[in-house]
Amino acid sequence: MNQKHTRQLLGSLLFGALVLGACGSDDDTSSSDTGVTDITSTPDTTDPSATTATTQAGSDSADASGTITVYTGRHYGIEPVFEQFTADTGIEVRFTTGNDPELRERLIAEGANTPADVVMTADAANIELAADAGILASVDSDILTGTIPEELRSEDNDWFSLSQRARVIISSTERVENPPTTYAGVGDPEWQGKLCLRPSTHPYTQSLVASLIIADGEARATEIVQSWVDNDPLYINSDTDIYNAVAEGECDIAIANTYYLGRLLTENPDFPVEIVWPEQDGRGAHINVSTAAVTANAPNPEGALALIEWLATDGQQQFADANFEYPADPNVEPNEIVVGFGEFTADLPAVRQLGANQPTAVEVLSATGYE
Amino acid sequence: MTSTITDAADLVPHHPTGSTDPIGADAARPSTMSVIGQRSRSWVSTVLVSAVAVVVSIPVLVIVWSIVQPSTDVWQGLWATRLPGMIRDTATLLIAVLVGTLVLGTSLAWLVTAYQFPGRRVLGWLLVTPLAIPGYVLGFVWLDTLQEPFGARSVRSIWLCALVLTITLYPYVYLFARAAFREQSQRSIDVARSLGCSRTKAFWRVALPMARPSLAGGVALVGMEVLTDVGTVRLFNVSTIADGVLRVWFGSGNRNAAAELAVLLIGVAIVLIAAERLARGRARFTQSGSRTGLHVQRLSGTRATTASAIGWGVFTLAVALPIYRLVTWAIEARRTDQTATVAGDLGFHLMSSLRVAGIATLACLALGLLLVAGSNRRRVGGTVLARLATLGYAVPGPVVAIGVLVTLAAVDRLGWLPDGWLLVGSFIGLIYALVVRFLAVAYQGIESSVGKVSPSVVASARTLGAGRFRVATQVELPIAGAGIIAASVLVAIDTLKELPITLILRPFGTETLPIWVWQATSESLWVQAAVPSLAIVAVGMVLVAALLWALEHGAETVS
Amino acid sequence: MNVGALARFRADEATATVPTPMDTTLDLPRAALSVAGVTRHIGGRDVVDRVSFDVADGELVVIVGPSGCGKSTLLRAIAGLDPTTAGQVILDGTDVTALPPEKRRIGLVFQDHALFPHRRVDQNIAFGLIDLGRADRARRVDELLELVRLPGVAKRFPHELSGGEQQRIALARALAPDPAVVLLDEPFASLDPSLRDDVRTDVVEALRNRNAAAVLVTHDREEALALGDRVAVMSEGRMLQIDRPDEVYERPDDRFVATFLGDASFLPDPTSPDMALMVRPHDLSVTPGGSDAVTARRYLGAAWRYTVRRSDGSDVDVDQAGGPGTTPLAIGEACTVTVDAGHPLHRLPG
Repeated sequence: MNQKHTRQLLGSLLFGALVLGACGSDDDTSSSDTGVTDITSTPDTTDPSATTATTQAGSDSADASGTITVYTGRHYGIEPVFEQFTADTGIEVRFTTGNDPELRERLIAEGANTPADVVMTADAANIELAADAGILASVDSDILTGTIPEELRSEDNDWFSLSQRARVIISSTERVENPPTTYAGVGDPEWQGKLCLRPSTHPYTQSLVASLIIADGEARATEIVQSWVDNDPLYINSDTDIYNAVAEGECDIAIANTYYLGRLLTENPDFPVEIVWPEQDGRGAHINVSTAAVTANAPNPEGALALIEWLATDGQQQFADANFEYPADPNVEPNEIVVGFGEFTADLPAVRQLGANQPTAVEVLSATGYE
Repeated sequence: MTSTITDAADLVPHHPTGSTDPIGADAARPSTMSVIGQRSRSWVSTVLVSAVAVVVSIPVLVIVWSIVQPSTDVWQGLWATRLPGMIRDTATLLIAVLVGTLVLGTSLAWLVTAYQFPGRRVLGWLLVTPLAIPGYVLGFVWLDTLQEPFGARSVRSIWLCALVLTITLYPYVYLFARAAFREQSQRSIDVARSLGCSRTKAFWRVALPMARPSLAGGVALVGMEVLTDVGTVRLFNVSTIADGVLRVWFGSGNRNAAAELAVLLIGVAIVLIAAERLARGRARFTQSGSRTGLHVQRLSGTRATTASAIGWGVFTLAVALPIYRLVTWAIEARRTDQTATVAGDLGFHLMSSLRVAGIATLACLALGLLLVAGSNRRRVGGTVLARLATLGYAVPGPVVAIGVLVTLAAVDRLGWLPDGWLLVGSFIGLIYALVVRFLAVAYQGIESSVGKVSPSVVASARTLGAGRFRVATQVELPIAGAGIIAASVLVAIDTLKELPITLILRPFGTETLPIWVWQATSESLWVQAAVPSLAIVAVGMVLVAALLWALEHGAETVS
Repeated sequence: MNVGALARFRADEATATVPTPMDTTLDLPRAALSVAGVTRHIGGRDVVDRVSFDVADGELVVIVGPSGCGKSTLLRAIAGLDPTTAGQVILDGTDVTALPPEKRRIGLVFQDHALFPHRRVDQNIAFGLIDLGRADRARRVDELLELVRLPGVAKRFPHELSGGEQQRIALARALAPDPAVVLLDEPFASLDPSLRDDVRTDVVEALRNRNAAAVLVTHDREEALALGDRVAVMSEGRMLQIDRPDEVYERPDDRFVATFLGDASFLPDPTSPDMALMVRPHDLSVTPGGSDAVTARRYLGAAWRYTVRRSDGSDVDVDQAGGPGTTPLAIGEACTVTVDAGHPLHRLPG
């Protein structure tokens, strides 16, 4: 029996624990040394003076060099954008990704000790909840007020949209001749069993219902959602899969974000699904936004503002294009595939109220039995 | 997206490396006289154990505390809408998976223990390997694979979810059952046969009932996993109570109600553990009489082939096919140059994962040893403090993460640390959260391994002049060594696969393999998820191999 | 060295005061082990009840009694594994009652040998010898292996030895640090009966060669009578009698001791109403014909043992010597039982 070996193994493991633990607990030092999350890992584009600054250890306050720390819930394709920012300005950006609500919880818990300068979300309601929690800072920026339309930023100027995405009706080009043109129309009995929807757990769905409440009131919104549920929809927790389901005949119509179609068309220009712009005779299609805000306790508020301003101006194109979204700045042209989706009216006024109506939306979804 | 073992509050169920010993069973355990087993006479150890227990249980208590002010209107709302459905779904899923793992795990264990057929030994090992595959990986592989032939609607069902969970979790029951069958004396079977039972009947009437305590332990473990799973169920549109906790928390922003749901979950877990204790009864686990082991029956011809086929079939379904699918995706990812993320390449993520899992495992091991050594296992209630430290196992990952977040942030606000050093977002904070979650695994594994050291061996050592320290290090630890290693391996597997806590609490520069998987799967990019998934499975396989080695070298899986 | 005669306690004197550990007036060598009034109270009753006795160097005291009589508890209390409610344990003149086991110089041999499975035989034996240098240790190990007559097994592991060998190694290990007394808790119970005798002999011889004081606990009365320099009979926590084997067998202090150590029958004492006369089966003889009747019989090899119902209704056990040519009595056969002791019958209370 190798009991002696076992003993030695255990002993060295325990000893190793102490050693490694000591090293590992140097949180940021070790990570900064590998330098990979820091965008500065790419050479040639960095200002040498900025590089040295990133090796500072756990201390996050008093950041003299200007590294900007970002908590972002919108993580798809974000890295090249930050890289471009650093290339343009020489300022480092380090970021951590996560789910919007969890990042919000973290900011709330961190309070005054937060290392985060900027928080970015993938949806309006979440940034509004963050504002309600008091963790955002109001900024005074002519650039931002100049480029971002009023409806796409908060009244207190504590958050700003960077891109828009429309959640629209999509339908099969092969099987559907008369798709519905309103969200209510999705609940028409003719679509019984042929409807795909995203589950209620996702903020996209919640914001959509919130927009219904804003438009028509809670009672009517409940009716509409009920009619959807009565159509026995197939709940799929992924817009990509929803598109694929429509393409493959699992359902004929669905509600999904436009930008996924951009990705799909890039791979397959003949993808047999089309966008149907809803509510065009009325308020316009439901819009949700990717947002950014300066945190209330940002260690580096100047850098934070600089980043957001850049994203709203020089970075707008890249930011939106990376994900086939519509730029928040109406003067910036979207990606050509996106342009190909067509012109449409957007329900912009609702955007600011999505957050306030989200809890009610969740209740409506519960009450109607929406999965 | 937890795919990890979960446990009840202060009642920790059987774990593959040992038994749970909820309050009350201590009396049945023989007394030991060592450091690790002995009642601690010094107040120092009591203080240490208390300190560890309190520090580790605070995050969960923080969550539980909110139940002091129940929010009745939210509960009414929940009850009118989702709660009945959640309870129904949870119950359905739980029962389906418990039955499934029981049947699958037990029958496979019997197959490889009582019969001899070609490839039995290798199969015996391979059937443990599903442990290496996270549930959320298996989930999306099966979802995507079956979507084409069966359609998106039928694939998103609670039954397929139950099947996926069964396949991922049966190894726990399998390990327990296999150990129990191995320990059984052939004599009992012989007696049964002399009384007229055929071999099959002997299985049902003798072998199975005698293995009941161990099986109960394995099943309870599976139950904990199912109760706290949030990743796999979401894939299949199943809304369990754990999922409900997250919905209420992040959807409605109602932290109180979410915490109350979490407490409900802990309550269900406690019921589960109590049921397991009842099933165990007052049976003693070790056989008296010679351990001749089961007489293995040689199979030949079609029966041998059938036996092989069954075993290999399960392995293919659970492990081989998913790996194959992942490999094809990985090759495609290679081709389209998607084998790295924003943070870095495979090597970077692998190192992050190894670092996190390694340190967390060592921390759990050290604290587990401390708790076991410092607790008075002879007295009823002597282990209450240590049990407190195992609360985290009964709570879903995201909830633990939030509890830790709140706790650490409060400590940060106190400003005790030198200027600029923060616990939130630090490596230590992450390790702390993982310890809160998984200490239970280490604790019960160590406790039962040490408990197996014969009291007369320990008494002999003491009369030979060995003080407590020498007895602990030169007698108890070596004998219990393999079992302790097995417990550590299981903690390592858990921390390797862990996602929600790492997601919320990781420091900059630590991007583990599961994080990579999440980044891909949250956008339904299965191809991109393949490479990190395979890496997780590969490391997991190494750990499973270590576990099997420890088991072969004397770690017993039952107590 | 036999201090039996002087240390004898009679049943009716057992409730007397606790004797002082060292009876210096008798000018005896100091006892290796002295147990004085040891009591252990568990769950409302005295599992060990004011037990007192001494053991001298080179002496083997066997404590015998039925299951649950407290003998193992007593042993554990002497070893320090369990605490005492009252009383003292004195080793070589030092009061060790308050000391933990590792501070007492005692050796312990268990029924299951309790060898360290992860250490070789020589490492097992050397476990208690950490104070010695390497060379001394090796020498001592060899010595002890010689003593228990297993010189070649030093490098083996416990599981590679037979039961009897394991038990002898356990003894060697216990003897290695030169303890004041060796305690053996039913050491032969798990051995094959055919081996038991040999192992017993070896163990007793080893103890004698070392001049070790030893206390051995057993439930086997034959073993007790065969091995002990003195035999102590315990029942329900009390030590009823401790004396030389022939003394306790032939002159037991009460019925319990009498019947525990062997078959015995009791006849009323004609001289005194509350005394009885003890007869063992070999003190009686049986002849065919008469008013008594054989109700049972069994063959012991050396004798036929009958149970006879006497005319006054009482039952007695009688031995009839065996040997070729003897015709045993049949069951139900009429016979006569007569006392044929060849020595005065022993009187005891009851």
